[in-house]
Amino acid sequence: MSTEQQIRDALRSVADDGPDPDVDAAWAQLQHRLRDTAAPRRGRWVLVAGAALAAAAALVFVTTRPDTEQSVDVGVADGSDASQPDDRTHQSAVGVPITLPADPVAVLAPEGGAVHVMDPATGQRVGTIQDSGGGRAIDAVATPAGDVFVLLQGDEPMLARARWDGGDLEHFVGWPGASAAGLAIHPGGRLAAVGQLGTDGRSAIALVDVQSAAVRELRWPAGDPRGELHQPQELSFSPDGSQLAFVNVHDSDGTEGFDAYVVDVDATDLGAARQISNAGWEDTWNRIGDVTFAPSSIGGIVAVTRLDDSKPQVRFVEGGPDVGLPTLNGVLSVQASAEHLLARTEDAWYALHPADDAWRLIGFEDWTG
Amino acid sequence: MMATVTSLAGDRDVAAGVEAVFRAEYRSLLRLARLLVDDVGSAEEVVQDAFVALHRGWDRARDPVAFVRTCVVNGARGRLRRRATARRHPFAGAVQDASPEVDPVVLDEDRRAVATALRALPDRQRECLALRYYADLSEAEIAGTLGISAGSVKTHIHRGTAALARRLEDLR
Repeated sequence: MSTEQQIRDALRSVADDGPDPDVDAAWAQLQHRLRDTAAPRRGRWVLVAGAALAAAAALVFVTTRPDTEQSVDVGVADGSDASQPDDRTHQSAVGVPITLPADPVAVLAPEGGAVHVMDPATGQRVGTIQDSGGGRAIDAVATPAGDVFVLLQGDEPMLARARWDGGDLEHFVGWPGASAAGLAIHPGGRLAAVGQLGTDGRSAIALVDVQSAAVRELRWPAGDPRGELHQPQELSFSPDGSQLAFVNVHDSDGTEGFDAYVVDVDATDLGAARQISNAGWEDTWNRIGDVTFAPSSIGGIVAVTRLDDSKPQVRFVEGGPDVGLPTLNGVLSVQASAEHLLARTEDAWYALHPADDAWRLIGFEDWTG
Repeated sequence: MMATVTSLAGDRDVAAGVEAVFRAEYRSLLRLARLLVDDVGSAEEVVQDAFVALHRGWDRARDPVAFVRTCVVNGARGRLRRRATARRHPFAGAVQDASPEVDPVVLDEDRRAVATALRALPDRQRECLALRYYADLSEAEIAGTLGISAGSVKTHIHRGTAALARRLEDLR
């Protein structure tokens, strides 16, 4: 018997064990749950992801679903009341918002492989950046000068760029055979960073000079298990551009772990990277004014690591998201708006002003949208 | 008034659609979830949560079966991670989702050994093996379900197959 067949049989022996499930009873249970949560399915807004849009004095929200990360509406809210997005928001899109230097905001739409440019004043789409070669956009960022860099997944991962206000998407670096995820642009606009996993099963961060397309790779030292199987994710340059933060995924105890690291941009490899958190996910850096935050989890309490100078300092913030434990799978995120740090848990939003010592509950999440 | 009538009709269509998918797929999804989370209670909750998500996202789910399958895999992964986090933080007393990993009553010795070997795999390897060898999905379908590249799927299946075969051999 082949190894594959042995594994098929083994999996079926576990999965098919036990009595046949009672589908009618399970359906009745589901109907009961749906009745309990029944609410208007349209016309309600769900605040899930927030992005700063200081130029328009508004917050831009993109609804998404924690369970599938596939859904879909773009909203604009008056910054004075984040819990009440107004009804100018109409355009369907998917994905994460990208702050542009001018009023429009770009939204990555992974399902359609496009980057939509939205006008926050009207909620209407004013442009779309799409790869004519059929590449699927899996990440995108904008530079202060107005270039949009797009990480494409087609036959191979590829970095491309376009002007947000028009023009063709220009391919300029590809990684045959690799997988890639995570894209960041240096605050000065001179470097792009891409997390990748090569055909040899080793991970790296590729630093790409956006002018010359020259690539320099930061790798874990040979034999370091942190460099296996998963590409670095959630890349983000520090506000001064001297450091790069990333989330490294590792396998241990049968589950994946997530560690946030910081490495100097000028380093020769990732061996000198400093671990700053054992619960890195989603955004690794958030800057409000002069304060930079990174999400952290210590002792089961959601906290914020405040990074002052080069030494991470944990700052516990009272009254924060009281979830007992940080929940992964994209459910908890900490992001920066123009003036606040925003934290989302499974069922609520919190805001923290850098000058405050306590989180403020700003609204409960409602998954009826 | 017309809008109300249209809306109610739409809700009935959604309920009928969700029920059709539920009745056709519940058994296989529950079994898939059991491979991913091991204990029956958690598996049932994961599948229920997935169908609640499908009900809410029906308008946007281009392929309802693929949508709900992705919800099951993501939900199972989330539960395992919460358990892992709970183990790392023993002072967090208010953990509601720290159920045992294997229901000792349900599985006999051989099956428990298989479940143990499966549980010892990294998440992605376990998911890829369950979707490939139990759900019979193609590598492209697995990539779509997990949101990773087909190359990564191939790597996880290759490594997972080798690791699981090795562990099963050790158990014999």
